[in-house]
Amino acid sequence: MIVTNFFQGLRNSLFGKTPTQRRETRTAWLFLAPNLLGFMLFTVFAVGMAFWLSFQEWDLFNQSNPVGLANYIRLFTGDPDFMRALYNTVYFVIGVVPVGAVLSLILALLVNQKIKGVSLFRTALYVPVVTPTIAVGLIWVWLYNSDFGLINSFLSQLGFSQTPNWLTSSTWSKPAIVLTNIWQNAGYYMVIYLAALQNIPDQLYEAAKIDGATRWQQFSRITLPLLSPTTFLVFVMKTMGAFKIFEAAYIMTEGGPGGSTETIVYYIYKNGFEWFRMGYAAAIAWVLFAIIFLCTLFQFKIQKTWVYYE
Amino acid sequence: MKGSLLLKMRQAGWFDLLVFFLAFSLILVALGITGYIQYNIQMNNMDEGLTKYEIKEALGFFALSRENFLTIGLIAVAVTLLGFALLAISRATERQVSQQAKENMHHMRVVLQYVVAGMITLIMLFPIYWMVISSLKTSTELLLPVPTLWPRLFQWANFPNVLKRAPFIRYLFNTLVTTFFIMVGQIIIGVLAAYGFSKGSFKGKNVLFLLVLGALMIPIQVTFVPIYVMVSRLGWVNSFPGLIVPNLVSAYFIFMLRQSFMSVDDSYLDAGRVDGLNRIGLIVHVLIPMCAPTMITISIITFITGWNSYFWPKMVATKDEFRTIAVGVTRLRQTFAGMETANYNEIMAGAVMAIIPIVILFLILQKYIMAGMSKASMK
Repeated sequence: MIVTNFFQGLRNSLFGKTPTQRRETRTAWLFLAPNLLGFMLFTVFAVGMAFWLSFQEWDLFNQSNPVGLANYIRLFTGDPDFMRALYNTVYFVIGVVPVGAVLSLILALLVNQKIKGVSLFRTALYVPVVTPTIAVGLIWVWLYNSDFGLINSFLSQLGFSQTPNWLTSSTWSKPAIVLTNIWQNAGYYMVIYLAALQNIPDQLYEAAKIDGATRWQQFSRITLPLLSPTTFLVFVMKTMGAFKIFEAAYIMTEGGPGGSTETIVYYIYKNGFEWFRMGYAAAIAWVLFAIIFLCTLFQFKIQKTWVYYE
Repeated sequence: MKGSLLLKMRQAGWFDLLVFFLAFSLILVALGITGYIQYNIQMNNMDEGLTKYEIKEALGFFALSRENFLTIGLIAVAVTLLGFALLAISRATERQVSQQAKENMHHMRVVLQYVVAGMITLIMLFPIYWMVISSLKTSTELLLPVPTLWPRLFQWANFPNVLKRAPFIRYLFNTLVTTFFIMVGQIIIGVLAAYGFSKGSFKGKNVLFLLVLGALMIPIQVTFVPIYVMVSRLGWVNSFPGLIVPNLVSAYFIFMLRQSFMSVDDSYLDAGRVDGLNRIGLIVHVLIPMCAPTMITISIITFITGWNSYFWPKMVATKDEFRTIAVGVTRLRQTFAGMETANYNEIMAGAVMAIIPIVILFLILQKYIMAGMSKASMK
């Protein structure tokens, strides 16, 4: 009797009191089932297994060995390659995020002008975004080619006798990849900025004009503050993206020269699928996740100081 | 008085535009001057046995056009200064600018807007242009010390040559199949889940939804090793299920669609029920038609993402039979090991083939993507 009551209570609280409610709940779960199945397998289970793996030593073929915290300890104390990858990744984040955001804002201002056919420019500027990163990488490999590339040829035409070797120089390889990444993503963030720009009411500018504000004042006192929530969004998204740069580095430099463009994700890939250190790869992936998470958290914490909300 | 004149000019926006134009024309002049000097230096090299023709050849397009840069730049500077002068005169002499003059100014400003927007767009698109023309050059032309901006000889054979080197048609087919099934799968699963999350009522709905959204936070790099292990245990390495199944569930798709479904008022659903529609009927006949733009947008975005994805297909597809186009292009590159530079025209031809379908699709449906993107960012 008590048992029946308990189960009835459980049923009532979980699935509803009346048969109609229960049927409703059942159908809802039925509709969610395919998604939840995938979610359980490819997210919950995979995350759990990745966590377990990060405490193992495993080469994908033989039996795995538990090694405790050894993977993490090695990562932070005995792996200069990881530190280099971390440095490179941070370099990319710092290089890509602010410059990319400014460029996207400029493009958005450009295509926010009230001229006929402006959507043509918008579409054109979005084309790099839909271009596969692989193709983008190959295009820029050719542009950066130190002997026959357009960029160096242009520079030497301008009178520079010494031109950088771009992708084969450890000084220039990072800026080269930063530029490529900014170019590819500029259109994406341009559209985000554009939507925000179009949300700013015209009356504000009218009022400012009457008060005698110059265009620069209108931009710095109206546009920028009202855009700051968007800038925040762009910064968060760009940071997350820049931490995961892999394909461009893989195609353009294979992490070289001398590991100067090896990012964390690239290092995960190498550990997992070139050296078959699955446990170590999983540990690095968790550290990367933690870094991204902390970075995002930090950005959310400091947003109060500079983001303007109406 | 002088101050207020300047202020008026700045307010009109003319001042900024003219300053920009002046800066641009000064750059043109600088380009022209350096080009002119270098051209003369090169001409002096004639003593070293190079003929005039060879020098011009070596300088290519730039040599010819840079003298033009100088001329264009000087004209532009003159025009800009004239603009400043006109502006000052018109403001100073006529307090009230006549309607006609205002209109003229407006027209000129529009022209300038077009010029600036056009130039920046051209610069941004230049790498794409460069890929296309490089794919049509001969190897000899490709390796000129000064590249030609327009192929002298169109070598269309680069494309058939690529097809001979790597099974590109097969790659395209694989990509199409994979991407299509990922898209269809995401739509079916996504529509069902979005319906459950938006219109279903049960306890813990919101908590569950937040959990599913949490999946967006987790980078694929954390989960791909376990997913790869699962796929390989299932024997799905080098198979279509291996390429498709792990990509079927997308938290992004569900999130966007749920937002859209929520905006449909329940009264429409009630009306549908009165007409005797069951739940599937409600989805097919009420929700999907009412949310068609969002559906189309996220489907296209899914398609583009699928087409361009590289990381996962590279892991799973190691045989030509299952390689997708993105993986195939890098495979093509490997076939030139060591001889890459001389054959870059064919690599570019491969890249063109990988890009063309997706760019055409984008151009046809760009309206939906642009609208959807801005809508998504507003949430």
